[in-house]
Amino acid sequence: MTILDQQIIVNNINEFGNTVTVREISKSFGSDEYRLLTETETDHAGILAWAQVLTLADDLVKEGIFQAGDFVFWFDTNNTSYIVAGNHIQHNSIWYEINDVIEHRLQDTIYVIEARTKKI
Amino acid sequence: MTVSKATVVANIYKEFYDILVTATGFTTIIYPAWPEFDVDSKSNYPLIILGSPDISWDEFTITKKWVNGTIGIDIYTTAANTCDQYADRTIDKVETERDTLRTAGLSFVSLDSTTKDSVDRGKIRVHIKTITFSFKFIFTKTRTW
Repeated sequence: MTILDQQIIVNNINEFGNTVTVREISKSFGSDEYRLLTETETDHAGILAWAQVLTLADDLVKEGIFQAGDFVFWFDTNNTSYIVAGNHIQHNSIWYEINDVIEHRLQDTIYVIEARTKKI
Repeated sequence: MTVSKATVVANIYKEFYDILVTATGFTTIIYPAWPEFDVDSKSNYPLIILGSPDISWDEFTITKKWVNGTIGIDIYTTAANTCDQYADRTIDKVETERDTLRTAGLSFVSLDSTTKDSVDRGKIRVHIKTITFSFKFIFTKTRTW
């Protein structure tokens, strides 16, 4: 991705972005013999993101990894600690699970974060 | 804890878990199945997967049945020597606690077999040792005559 591409995405985030809710899911294992898993959910509302819906024309859908209707969310470098695979994003009252996170860098500095999600 | 007819599988699992968790280095690494977190770095190992017991019944007396069972323990490490060390600790722990298992109702606890394998998970070479123990348990059966 070129410098210009990333700047366009940052502009889109600021101009056309929506606020989404990122649900941070942390897992802890019990000390019992079955190590029962406990998931704790922490919601972070009002995070600015540019949402791109995936269509049949997109390579990700053509390759079969994602389906039409799944979303790619673009974030700037604020709140980056929440954008990790496994966490959930709510957009227009629909929840999506973050499948892949790609950090786009310019000379080792993260500029934009791409979160590829699947509808839950 | 005593193994009972109504809770054979769960109790036998717990007996073995309670024994193994006291072995050196085993306190936080035993799981009933592959853990639900990303195992993608060497720091996630070693892992011990204590399987659910497999059982079958045999006639013992007119009023009692044998439960014949096996329980498998899978050891995952990133070094071959560590794999063998954890295997030795597992086998030794079960052997020295046979009296505890007998008190709980499990008899003829014996090492059935071990197998060894290694796989590459990404850039990590994982060494896997599977240890199988057998045991017997007697219970009074429900009369049908």
